[in-house]
Amino acid sequence: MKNNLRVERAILNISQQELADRVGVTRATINAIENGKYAPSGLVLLKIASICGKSAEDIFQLEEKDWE
Amino acid sequence: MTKTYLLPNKVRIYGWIVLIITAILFILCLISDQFMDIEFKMPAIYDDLSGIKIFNSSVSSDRHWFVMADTSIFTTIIPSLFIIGAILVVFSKEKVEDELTCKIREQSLVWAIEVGFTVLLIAYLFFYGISFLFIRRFVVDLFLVLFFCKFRFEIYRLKKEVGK
Repeated sequence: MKNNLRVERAILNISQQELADRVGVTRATINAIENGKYAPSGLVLLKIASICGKSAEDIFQLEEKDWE
Repeated sequence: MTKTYLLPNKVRIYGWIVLIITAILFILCLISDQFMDIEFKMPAIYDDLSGIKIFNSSVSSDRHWFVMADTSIFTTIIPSLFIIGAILVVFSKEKVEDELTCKIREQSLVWAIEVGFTVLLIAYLFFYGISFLFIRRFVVDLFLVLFFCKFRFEIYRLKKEVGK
């Protein structure tokens, strides 16, 4: 699953730590999500989308390999 | 709501204190035969070993339910303290426990079970006699140690990646 969380975070001008605090996860988790190393749960995904003021699909997009 | 069976983070420090005491007792047992030989009695549900002296001929096959069993610091106190300390350390929450931490914990647990049971399988196949009993006894401790090491290593690797 790819995402443009880094871009959305830059638009909001908040650090990984600030976003992590607001979502209720660690900075390491936000970093792993941004790098595509961890696919967050539905709850975290919706929290991030809500903070960014976008829909989940605007930030997170499925890739071909996600269907395999 | 997902139920978690983890202990609060603040108990971890007590776990480390218990483990340090365990390590001191273990070292004392290694360097002092007198300390190792200190015996006392414990209430046992079942005891078929009291009276057995493995390295001489005084072997008794008496078996008893609900008796006071002969034991020592090395065979009862140290393993008990180790298990209590290890559980407090290994199964306590992180300061910030989130879903990625839970996932790493779950993966580390599966890894530790696989490796632990592999060791047990090797013990069943290739070790016999008293050495087998020793290995089987230490697989339980090994499992806690493996799980702790794997989990801490993965958390360290994750934090190191963030630091880059």
